[in-house]
Amino acid sequence: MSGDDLAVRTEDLSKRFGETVAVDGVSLEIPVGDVFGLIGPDGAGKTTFMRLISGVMRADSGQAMIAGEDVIADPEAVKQRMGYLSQAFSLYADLSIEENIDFCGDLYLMPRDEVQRMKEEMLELTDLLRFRKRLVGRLSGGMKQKVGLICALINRPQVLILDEPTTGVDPISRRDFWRIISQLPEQGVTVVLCSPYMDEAARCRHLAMISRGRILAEGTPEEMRQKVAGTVLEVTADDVRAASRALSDLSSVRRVTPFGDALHVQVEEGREAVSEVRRALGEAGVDEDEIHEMVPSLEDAFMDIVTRGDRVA
Amino acid sequence: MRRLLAVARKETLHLLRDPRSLAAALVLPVGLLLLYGYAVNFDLEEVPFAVVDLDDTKSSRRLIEAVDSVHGFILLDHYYDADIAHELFARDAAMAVIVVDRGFEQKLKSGQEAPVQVIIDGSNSSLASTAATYCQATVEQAGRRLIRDEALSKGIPISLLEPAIDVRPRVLYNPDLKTQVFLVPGLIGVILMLMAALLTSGVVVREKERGSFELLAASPVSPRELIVGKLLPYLVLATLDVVFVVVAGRIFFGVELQGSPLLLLGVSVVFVGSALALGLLFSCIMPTQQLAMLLSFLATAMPTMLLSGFAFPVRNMPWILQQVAMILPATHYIAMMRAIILKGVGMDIIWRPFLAMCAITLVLVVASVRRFSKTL
Repeated sequence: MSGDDLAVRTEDLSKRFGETVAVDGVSLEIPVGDVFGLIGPDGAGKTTFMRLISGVMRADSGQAMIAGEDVIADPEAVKQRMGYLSQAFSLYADLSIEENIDFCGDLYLMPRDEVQRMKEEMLELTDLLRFRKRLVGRLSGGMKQKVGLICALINRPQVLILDEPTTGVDPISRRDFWRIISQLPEQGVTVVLCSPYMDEAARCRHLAMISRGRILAEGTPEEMRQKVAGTVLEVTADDVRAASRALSDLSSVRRVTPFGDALHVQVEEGREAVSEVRRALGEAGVDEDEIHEMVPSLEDAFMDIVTRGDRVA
Repeated sequence: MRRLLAVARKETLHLLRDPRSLAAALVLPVGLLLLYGYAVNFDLEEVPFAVVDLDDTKSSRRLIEAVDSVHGFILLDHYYDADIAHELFARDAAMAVIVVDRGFEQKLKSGQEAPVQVIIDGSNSSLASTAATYCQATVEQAGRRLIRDEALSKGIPISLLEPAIDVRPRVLYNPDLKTQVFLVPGLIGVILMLMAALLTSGVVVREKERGSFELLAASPVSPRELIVGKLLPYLVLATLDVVFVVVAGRIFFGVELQGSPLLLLGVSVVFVGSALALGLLFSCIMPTQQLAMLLSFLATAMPTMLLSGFAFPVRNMPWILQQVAMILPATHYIAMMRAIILKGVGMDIIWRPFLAMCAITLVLVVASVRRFSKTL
């Protein structure tokens, strides 16, 4: 892929805080118009990575190009064409929705009438129009994040960076949020977000899994699912905990993950796995209702990749 | 420029949305002026004194009567031993004890020197020196009157008795030598320095504490636009404070503005600019609002009160402290305030301290801009 088609390109990007390596040699390529999700557990280095590529934090080493600008050499160059929504609340609580948006419009020197038009349109779309005069501090968490998104989009950015945008956000606001995000690629906007949620990951076109500052896997959500080693069986049993105990010790079982009243049992490839599981449950005296092979979920893939990655590390 | 104005407008909104802090910012300076203006007073209002009259003659009694009749002198009691001074001073009952020795009248009548001892409580040196001068003058004057009456009764011409040189001091600018007149212009400087630095000490670090710093950091706003934009609304607020304290000084302490109000305002804007920039500088480098406020308080209150010439003349300080005083904006400001308020002078006289203060302000603004970092 040539450099012009890339919205974000990082090479060996690293940042450490004392002893902890928060981001450890991350190299990623994100094409223009992508919706890219960085998925990982808490403390994996997601927020630090987002801050590094948005120029809000200085990297220790490595390269980062955003929209063709070198963020490491000149963090200011790209800011006019970039939108960034931090994980922590970053608006002014004592200013109204409109005042916050207008302030952001001024910071990016956007034409006033265009800010006015976008503001109306986006507030309408997010069902916030009637709260426009309300102080942001008096809004719910979801509403605050939607205002944050409008502010991050007010400069019509080429690259939009969202750091866990929907963490702690109610489902309805989340839906509004994604309604806006999914429109962006067709306008040529590249969205880079990070999230600990798998359902959100499933909405992305490309994913990268990060743990302990390192990228463990990359690909489309479909490709990620296929990365799961072996087969995943869904086991429904009366006594899920007893079943879990009985299966954990089997040599052919890689991992047992509880999933509501069922177990996801990841086993070595092959037909005999099902009979082996059935036999083990029988010996333990657990009545199994149903065992069937299933398409691995993103969460399965995630768990598998992270545990394997950690074992290597 | 548009970004700068946007930042200024936003800061103004913050101020207006926090009416309690805004009210405090406007009322506190006047409150401090009243507190210090009334508390700090080096004036000698009254001199309670005791008398040890060992002579107990018509002349000695007339001398004491004459002293007692002077405004401010309050005769407590008569004693018969000069040692009573220790006891009276220990209890803070008297400031002076006047001892008239035996033979006072006799010496007076025979034309000899007739010494009268005045014992002063020196534990407060500034009050004591005033009291000593005051007592000496009063007793001497009363004594002169005695001699004159004596001479008249003997038919000696008075002209022979009067001193050849008669010193008549005339005090300009503060004819009553009131402490407040000296104090208020300096006090205005101290209070404004303190308040203005406190006002801005939170404005950058607050953005970090509340998370909005990330919004600014990710935007194309420059440190210069941000710092100057934040400075502007506070410059207006602090200028209002200047007007308030100057008017309060006139109303409560009778300190009249002799010079040009416009000159005073112009000089004051540059001065509060330096204090606001200092607060901003601390706000850029300190990790929390509390620490920034504490540092602002420590860095302004002590040096300004001690070294700026507010109460203690800079020219009496050791060389090294004089150099420190010169880098304090308040030193130049207080000198200019006294000149403008009390002496009514113009820019032609005060241009030197004015330029020095402008330079300090500029350095502090540039330092704030430089120390402001757009990264976390």
